[in-house]
Amino acid sequence: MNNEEMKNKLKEFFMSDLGVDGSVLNFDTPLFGDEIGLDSVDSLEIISFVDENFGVSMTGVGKDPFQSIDTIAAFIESHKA
Amino acid sequence: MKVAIVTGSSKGIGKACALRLARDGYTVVVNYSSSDEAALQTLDQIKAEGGDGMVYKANVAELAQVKQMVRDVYKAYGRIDVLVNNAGIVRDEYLLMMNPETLDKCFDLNVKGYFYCAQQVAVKMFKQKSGVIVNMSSVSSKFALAGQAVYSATKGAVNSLTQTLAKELGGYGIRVNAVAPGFISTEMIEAIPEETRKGYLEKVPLHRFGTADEVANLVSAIVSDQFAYVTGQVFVMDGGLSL
Repeated sequence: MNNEEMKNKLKEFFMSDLGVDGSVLNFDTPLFGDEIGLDSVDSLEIISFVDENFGVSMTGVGKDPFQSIDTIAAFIESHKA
Repeated sequence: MKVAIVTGSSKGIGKACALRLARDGYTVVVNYSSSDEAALQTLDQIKAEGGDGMVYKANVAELAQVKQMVRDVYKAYGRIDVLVNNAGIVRDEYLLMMNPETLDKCFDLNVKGYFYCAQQVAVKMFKQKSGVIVNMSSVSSKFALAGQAVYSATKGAVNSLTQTLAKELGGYGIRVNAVAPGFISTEMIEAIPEETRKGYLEKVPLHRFGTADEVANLVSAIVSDQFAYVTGQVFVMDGGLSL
């Protein structure tokens, strides 16, 4: 899966599982800001999805990798086995 | 099959919890950090009683080791139902004598270790939409004893962590509670001079020390479905000491 496909898969997950409106969700949109409004509880959903679908653990890595789809994809890319 | 991880379960209260949960039908992961022999003895006893499980050496104060342990346990059994956060240390020092190393060591194991284990198992429990975490606190978190500032502070942190995690994880079917034992007959208590022990006993309305098995019985009850509607609570078990 290339980087673009990975980002699209993440975007699909945010729309279908977390109920984010796709029309306002770009790859660089802040996920935890006012616009999207995810909270700390949603981070567990994200971590679980990434763990299950990409085999990458995002626990204990701080907030920075969760900023946007771009940063999550970059984290996955750099931590893939 | 249901799977329980009990940290620091090669001896004392942790061992009693591991044995009890095995008797309850759990496959038990006997986590330990130093004594291979004691951990293997715990597992042998579990197996002799018809139970099953594994020993796993990991220092829970180290995130990388906790991650590896949880990953390996999940790989081996495919689920994690119960975490008993029990591994901890006591280093009693009066405030003015306390050194930074003591502070770091106690917080690393008694607090950070609990965070790391809860964090890692929560991801697995989230997938199952069920799970129970029991944090071993202490009556010291509620009843001040001179010289226990560090230990008390770490256990106070455990109580707050318990309540916060109960709120964060409750929506996913994960319950989080704590047990706060008082004076329990373990090697730690046995090592105290007779005279001091007598002094402690005078403060306990039930006039005896508790047993590790009694703590394990409470943990067993908390993780059972009988307590399915209970989360975020700190259960004091101290023979009345804190009254």
